[in-house]
Amino acid sequence: MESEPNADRVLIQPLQQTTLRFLLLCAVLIGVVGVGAFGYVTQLQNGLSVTGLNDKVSWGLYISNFVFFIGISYGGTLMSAILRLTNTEWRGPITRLAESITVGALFLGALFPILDLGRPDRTLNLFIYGRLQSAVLWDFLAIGTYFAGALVYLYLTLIPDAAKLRNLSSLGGVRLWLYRRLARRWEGTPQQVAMLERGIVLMAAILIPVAVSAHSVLAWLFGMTLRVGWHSTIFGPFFVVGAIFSGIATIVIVMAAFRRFFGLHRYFTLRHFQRLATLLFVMDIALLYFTLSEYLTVAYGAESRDVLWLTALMHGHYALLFWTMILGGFILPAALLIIPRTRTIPGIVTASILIVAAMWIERVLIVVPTMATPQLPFEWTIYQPTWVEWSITAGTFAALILFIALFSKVFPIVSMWETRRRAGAEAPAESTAEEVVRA
Amino acid sequence: MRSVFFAAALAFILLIAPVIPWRPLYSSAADTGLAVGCNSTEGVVSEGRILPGEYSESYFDETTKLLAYFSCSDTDGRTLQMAIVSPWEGWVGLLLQASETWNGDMNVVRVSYERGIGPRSYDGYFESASNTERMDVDWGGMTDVYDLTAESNDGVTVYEFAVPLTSDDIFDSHMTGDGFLYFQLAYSGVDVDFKSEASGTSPLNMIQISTQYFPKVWSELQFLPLEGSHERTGTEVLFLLRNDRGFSVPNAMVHVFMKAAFGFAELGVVMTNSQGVARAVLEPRGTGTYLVGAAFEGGQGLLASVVWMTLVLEDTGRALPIVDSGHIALSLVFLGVAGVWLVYAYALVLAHLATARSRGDLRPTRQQELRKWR
Repeated sequence: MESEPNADRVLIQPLQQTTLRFLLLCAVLIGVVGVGAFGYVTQLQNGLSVTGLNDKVSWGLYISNFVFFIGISYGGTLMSAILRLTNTEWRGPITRLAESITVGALFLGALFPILDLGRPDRTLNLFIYGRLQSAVLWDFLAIGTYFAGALVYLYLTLIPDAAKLRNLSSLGGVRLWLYRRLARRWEGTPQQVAMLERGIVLMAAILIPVAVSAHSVLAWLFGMTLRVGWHSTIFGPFFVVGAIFSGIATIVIVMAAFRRFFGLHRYFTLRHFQRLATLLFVMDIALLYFTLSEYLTVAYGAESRDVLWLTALMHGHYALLFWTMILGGFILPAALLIIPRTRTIPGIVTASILIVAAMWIERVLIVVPTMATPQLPFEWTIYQPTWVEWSITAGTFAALILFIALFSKVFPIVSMWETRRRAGAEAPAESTAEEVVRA
Repeated sequence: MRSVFFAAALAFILLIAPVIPWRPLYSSAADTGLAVGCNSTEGVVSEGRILPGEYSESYFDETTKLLAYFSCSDTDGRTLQMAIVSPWEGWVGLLLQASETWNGDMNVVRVSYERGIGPRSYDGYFESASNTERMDVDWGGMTDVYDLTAESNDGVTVYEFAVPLTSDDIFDSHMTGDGFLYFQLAYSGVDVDFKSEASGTSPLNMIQISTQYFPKVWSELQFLPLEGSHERTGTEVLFLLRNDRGFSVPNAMVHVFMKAAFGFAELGVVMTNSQGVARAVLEPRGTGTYLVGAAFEGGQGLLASVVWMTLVLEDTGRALPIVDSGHIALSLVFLGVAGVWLVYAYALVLAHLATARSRGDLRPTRQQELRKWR
């Protein structure tokens, strides 16, 4: 690790300098978000008839994205909280990244049920006519609670860095105003640090059960419905493991991007990637086990509608997606993550990209084939998303990347104070600021 | 010669095959044909109760769950006598072909019953050309609904009334000789206001008014005493179907349904066994009062019959406590969620205290920063 002032300079540099490449990236992302916004305006004007949704497959791509984004978000904070509580010494560079992914993905993911409603004003019906027996209301409560917790957690961990940054006049008025509001009179005294750490540890401890329960509630939204492919007792842990799996993979991809574009090679080292790769491998095996258990149980029972659904997945309309997910998203990444020759940064990032893609497919395969399976002896429904759903999906993915990119321009993407604490002693904020200014 | 024969056979098959009715043919005009016998005897007594032998034809409509009985009297002008058994709180109605030749115009009769007020009727006329419906008196006719009586018990009302078929009023139905009349049944779910729209209407059906007919005989569907207790896991209900002589009717289909907040939940069709007993299992999702109905649609020379029962399902205390005692589960959830939010609040208080302690504003002034640079 670099010496303390140099370390801070490397982390603060992206806040002070904006490259043309970064601006170009932002422009492209804003363009994609704009296309998504146009798609949504089209949907608002013409109703859900412009989508591929119908009376049978009424959830489609929107709810698949909802589950996917919420999964990513859970992985982020769970990682951060678990690493912090277990006092894992290599966590320093990862936690801020994970927490920012959580907040961004949770906010954007929570928008999808509103998109799926068609009439956004009807969201209010949840409050006016909501029934506590409904898993939809539980889900709203769980996600709201989790989002609030993630924000508080992120705020607490930002305070020491905000204190370091509040004296850097080169960062401009708005950001300085924000840093001063966040840090207030933080000086980094032992008493302050102890008090803040108590709050952070408390939040980390509470966020783990909140995250697990919140994702379990999301799983129950499906599991408590008497439909093929959904009515399953393992859906809770299945979803939680899937969430951690996709969350870690996303962290790896974002880490690799910042390592490459912000030159953070000394923070995101091969060691970090390999540690995460080990976690990914464990989760991969666990998810494969759950998948096998789920499908084998259903196949062995062989009830007529279950057979219809399984046939569509295994060698029917959804077979290409299903086998792409199993082979390309679970088996191949497992090999990449465990074979020593491919346990390199490119190998691990490739595996992570495959995993994220597979987890998105998995969410689609959870939602769509079940809804398309006839509940009465009628014909199958074929769901084909239209450009509106694809543009909104692309726009949301772009919005998440844009959020993380812009966040990295407001706060160091690596927590300076935690990295410093791992490296040695905590220094008073004012001296650090002076050194940074001199540098 | 043989080739000519085969060619002819092939041509015959190709020409004839497309027009052969491979599937059964159905009439698209009316769903049911019912024969109503007209005679000069006074068989029907209008008192809000249907007695064996009063009516010669019946029709149970699966859409509206209304059971209608028909009879015809030639005494003092031809009159169609009717009874309707209704589970609805609002009005029920009969739409009867108006002119002797079908042109779409309907004689509209609506009846309702309110406790304390008694039965009321509405005599209207629907003109298909203008798509307009008004009361007969508004068209220039008169009100011709006779002998209206009603009895209501446990949410089920029986109406009896008569409408003339040889009236001087051109806004009534007319069938001076034997022939066919189209009819429909309709209901309004909750509103007794006759101006309210129908909530449900049966398909268009047909009755044949004739002096030559084979009268159908009485049938009666009964609930048998329930076996077992009213449990939330399911309640077994038994039905007995008997004919006019009290003998059980085997191998007959009985439709079972349950009144929900909006309309009816179909519980399926059950068959009577050799003792005329059919069995159905109800699986309501909670405790409460349910109006359960069963209908025999007629057949085997029997009139249709319907039976209604108010089923009160009470908590037997055998259900899973956490599901049953909603308030306990909700309290636990509330405590859990409130606890989480309290931890958030405590963490924020800690952050507030940590950032509030100060030895003074440490922010260097612009001049101090510049001095350091120099």
